[in-house]
Amino acid sequence: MKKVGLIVLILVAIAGITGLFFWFQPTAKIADGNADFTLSIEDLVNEGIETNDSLFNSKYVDKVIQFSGDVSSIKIDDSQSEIKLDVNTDETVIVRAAFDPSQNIDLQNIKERDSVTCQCKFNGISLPDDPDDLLSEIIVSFSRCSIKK
Amino acid sequence: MKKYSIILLMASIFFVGAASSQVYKSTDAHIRFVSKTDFEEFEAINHQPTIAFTNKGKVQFRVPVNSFEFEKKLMQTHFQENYMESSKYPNADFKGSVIEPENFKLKDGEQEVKVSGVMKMHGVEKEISATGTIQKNKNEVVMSGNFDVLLSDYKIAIPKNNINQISNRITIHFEAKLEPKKSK
Repeated sequence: MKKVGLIVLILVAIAGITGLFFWFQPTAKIADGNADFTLSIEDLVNEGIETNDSLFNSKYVDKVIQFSGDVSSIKIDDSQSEIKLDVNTDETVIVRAAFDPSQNIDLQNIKERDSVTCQCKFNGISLPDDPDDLLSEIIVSFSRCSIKK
Repeated sequence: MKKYSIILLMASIFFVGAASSQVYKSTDAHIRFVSKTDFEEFEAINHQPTIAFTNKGKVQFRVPVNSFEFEKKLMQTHFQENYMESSKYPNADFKGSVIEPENFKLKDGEQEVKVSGVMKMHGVEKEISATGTIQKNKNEVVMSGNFDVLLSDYKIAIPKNNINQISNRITIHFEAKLEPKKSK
């Protein structure tokens, strides 16, 4: 009987420690591991424009994507750094790739017009829903990025 | 005849200039939300909102929901998947205009403003208003403010066992630097 009580106590302790581990697990700073998709930024944007919103989002949002492109601007900051990329499409597109400050060392030598390969978590594409929108651009957002060499 | 043409041209330039608005776009912006109950307080920050504003007081925000960063991974997962359903509704949008002061015009210095408009979040549209300040210094505009939203207004359901941890009333703070839109 004592033995059963001890086993139950051990199981409860393991469950408690596991629960606490998951509860206090910090948010990942970069989207590491293998990419779910590797494609050009133009292909992703064109698919976003042509495909039904909900199909596109359920396929890509929150997935890890590796993509290449040319840098149009770079901002290195202590709270969050960001690279914007050029996209060759007929539409005006802003691609925003956000980096945790821990990645700043890899960003220091990047300049405008450099070609870079990034791996990031994809946060979605937003298309203007009204021709009179002040935000008339297509906005593509990534976060937890890292530079792939 | 030539004289009339020049007068007509000058008049057209004047009227077009008076009617068109200068659009400012965010170069640096963040939105932070805070949830506070008797048992728990937490916040999340988003550095990726895109904001546009005109010198006549029209304003638009677009916020990728998945760009909110939480300290704890489990909270972020619940927020995205269970509450905001971000793969279904990846963006939150706001479109509105300055209602106070009336006939707002952007000018140098700081102005206290009230903005009213429609926020679309989690697929639900709801009228909201916010108070804040708009500060113009040469070409740079800085706007900041805050407002409250009720999650229940946007059909975001808090599970019964989390009711003590997550407040139905969320306070949202925003701050942005904007510059005149460059033509492509």
